[in-house]
Amino acid sequence: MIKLEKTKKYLVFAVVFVAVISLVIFGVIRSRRMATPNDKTLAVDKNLENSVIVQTDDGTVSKVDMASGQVISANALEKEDFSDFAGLPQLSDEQKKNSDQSMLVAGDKSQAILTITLYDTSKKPAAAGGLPILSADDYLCAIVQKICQKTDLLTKEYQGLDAKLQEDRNAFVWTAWDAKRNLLLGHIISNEAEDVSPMYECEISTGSCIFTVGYDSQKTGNSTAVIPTGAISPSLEKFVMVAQRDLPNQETGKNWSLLLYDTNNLLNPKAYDISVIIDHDENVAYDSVHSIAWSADEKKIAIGTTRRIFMFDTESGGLSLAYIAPTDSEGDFNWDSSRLFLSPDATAIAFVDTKDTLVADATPSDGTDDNANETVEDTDISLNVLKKIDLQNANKVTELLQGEGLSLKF
Amino acid sequence: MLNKYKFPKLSFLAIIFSMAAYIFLVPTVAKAATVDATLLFNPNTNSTTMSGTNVTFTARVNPGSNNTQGVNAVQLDITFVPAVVHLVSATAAAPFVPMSTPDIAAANASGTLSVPYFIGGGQVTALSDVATLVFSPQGIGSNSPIAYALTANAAVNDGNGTLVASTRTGATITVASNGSDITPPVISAGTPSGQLAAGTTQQTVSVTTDENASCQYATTSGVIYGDSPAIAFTTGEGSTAHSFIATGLISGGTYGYYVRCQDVSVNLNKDTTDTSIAFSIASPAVNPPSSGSSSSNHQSSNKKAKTSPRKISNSKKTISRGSILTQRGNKFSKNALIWLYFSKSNGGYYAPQKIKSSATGSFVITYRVNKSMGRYGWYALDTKTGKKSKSVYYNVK
Repeated sequence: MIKLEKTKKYLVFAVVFVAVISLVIFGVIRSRRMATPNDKTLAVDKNLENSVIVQTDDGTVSKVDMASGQVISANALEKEDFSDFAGLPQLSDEQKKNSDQSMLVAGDKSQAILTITLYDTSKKPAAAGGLPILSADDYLCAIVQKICQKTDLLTKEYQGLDAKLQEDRNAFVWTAWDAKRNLLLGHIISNEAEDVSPMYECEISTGSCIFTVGYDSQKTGNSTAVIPTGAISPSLEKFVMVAQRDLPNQETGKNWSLLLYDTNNLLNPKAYDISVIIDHDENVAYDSVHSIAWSADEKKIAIGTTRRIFMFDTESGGLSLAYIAPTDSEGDFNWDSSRLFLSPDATAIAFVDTKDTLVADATPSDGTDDNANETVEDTDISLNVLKKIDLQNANKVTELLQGEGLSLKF
Repeated sequence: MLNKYKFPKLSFLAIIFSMAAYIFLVPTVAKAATVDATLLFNPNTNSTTMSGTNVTFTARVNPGSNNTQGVNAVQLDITFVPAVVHLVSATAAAPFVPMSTPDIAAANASGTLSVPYFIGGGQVTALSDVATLVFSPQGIGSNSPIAYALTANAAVNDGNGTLVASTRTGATITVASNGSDITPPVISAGTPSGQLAAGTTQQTVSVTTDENASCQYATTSGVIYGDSPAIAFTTGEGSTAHSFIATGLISGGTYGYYVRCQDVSVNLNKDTTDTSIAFSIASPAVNPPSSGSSSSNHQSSNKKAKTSPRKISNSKKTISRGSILTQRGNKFSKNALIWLYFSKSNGGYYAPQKIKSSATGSFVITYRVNKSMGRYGWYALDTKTGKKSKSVYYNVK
């Protein structure tokens, strides 16, 4: 009997011991999974969809399949819908109406930094103007886990980046976040509200920045390079600046250089002479590169200028014309050169053109030329159309979708 | 009685221990994070004003705050410009030792040095020197300082035998003239010139020098020899006939190349005007792609108002803060200066932005709108006539 009792005791102790060890091991395994990025989210970059995201004036965000032209649902991240994320401030309906949010998504789309700005509506401007800011806070959000927490990644001090410049939203903007390499990319906004050099590359962990040299828009005597929309490649390892050597908005430069930077080496960009694409047509008062779009393999780039779209091969340096915006009887053209989309396989380009500009409730012209004291305002309604260029079919252009104030969304 | 309750007490204690271990161990282990070791040069810039005076850089590694295991190996890959600076030595800094002897001659031939440094049986957990690199500037026959980039890439071993981080850094060496005589090579006979046939997609570009030299070209003037974005001619290194093949030419294009050369005594003609080579490709008519659509095709809208002079418009009525807005104008004076007035957040207008209208009296600009939520307007003033457009508005939401 005593032996049986002893055996029972040992059995129970063994079971408890095994349970303890199992619990510890389980905890270790679970913690390692939390610390390790989800490989599936990292794979997203390699499987870029062949669809383009668009937005209309009423805020509707849609996704259009480039091959079929079908409109498909945009996901929550594409719609910037964080309504079911934990850790964000709970805003009243009134506060929601008087707040906005902007988003900086990590390259692998596993995280996003959400900036929520609350405005003071007690001091509404009489006619036109903006609301004073009550608060602006950044939140670091894990997309899959749907949880956010306050962060100072964008506002903390970075050596090499002037703090006043960093604070001034009209003079500096963060444009990309490589969460894998812990890098932030940002650049200057010029007095003409253009995106210009230098590009800053800041290491989050060390809190230090380096920047491109030779085209420092803040230094007298330096020429400026424009940073077109879409300048940063999908992998965030490359970006483009264009040195145009011009007088912005007044005089087109005579020599354009496309500077292809590797974020691992900002000192030695590859320079390509793209002066051949400068438009000397008299209908174009000032030509500039406004937008860039990358293929998935980052070997092909679509370049959008004031009136034209080109394809550029970074390996051969080859350029080819893909589109010229047609002019109307008055010599005007209306495509939105500020954004371009290139399909991942570089077989098609998407862009937005203006189908019609509607002026609602406008006072008809009384035939006089003098409207110096005119107080009637125009509220434009731009009926835009999403178009696709088939690069494999003689650059044939087809319409995919139209909408009021339609634009490409990135 | 004691025996009866002793064992359950043990079980209870074991359960408490396991819960405690789970609570305290998980957060600790969960702290495993990305290795944040970094490489840097000290100093990150250096200069010498005398040809032949050596400059010294120390490559250093900072294990970082997440790297609790420290660093025990650094793979150092250095790049430099041998024509301007030569590598004299690469000496390991204790406790790092090189796993292979640095081949200085090969480095000076290729401009790259690749050496693995490691610590046997230990690691560094604080900022530490890895190697000291000494460079000797070559004779520069110029009066202007020349800055060269020295870059390094390093792969860092986290002490557990795992190569985990790749960091890179850069430094610059500035070399000024020692006032030696300048006898640069004379460049002549640049070809091609004029207009080439439509459809030409590539063309040999060539120059001749009056002495053996190495030549580089750039597509903008004033680029210093050896600096980015200058590119070496593919043939003729050290001879008098130099050429490269320009590719990717397109019909209707104009091309210009600016050439500078350096002789074998490293005398540069950098202070003289670039030798330029310019040519164009004849253009066939460029046909717009076939399309049934046409922009600005005013059809089908009953709401369309009659046209009026000096019309301006926005690409969107509502825009998110930080987005790009495209703004247009037409029916202004042709080839004239137009002043654009944009409203401020707190009322009033910014100083006018000046733009030029086209030969048809139109303009287009793109504008990053970083303004607070609200309603903003703008108008355009035709400086030739002194007349203003109506104001148009957009909302920032």
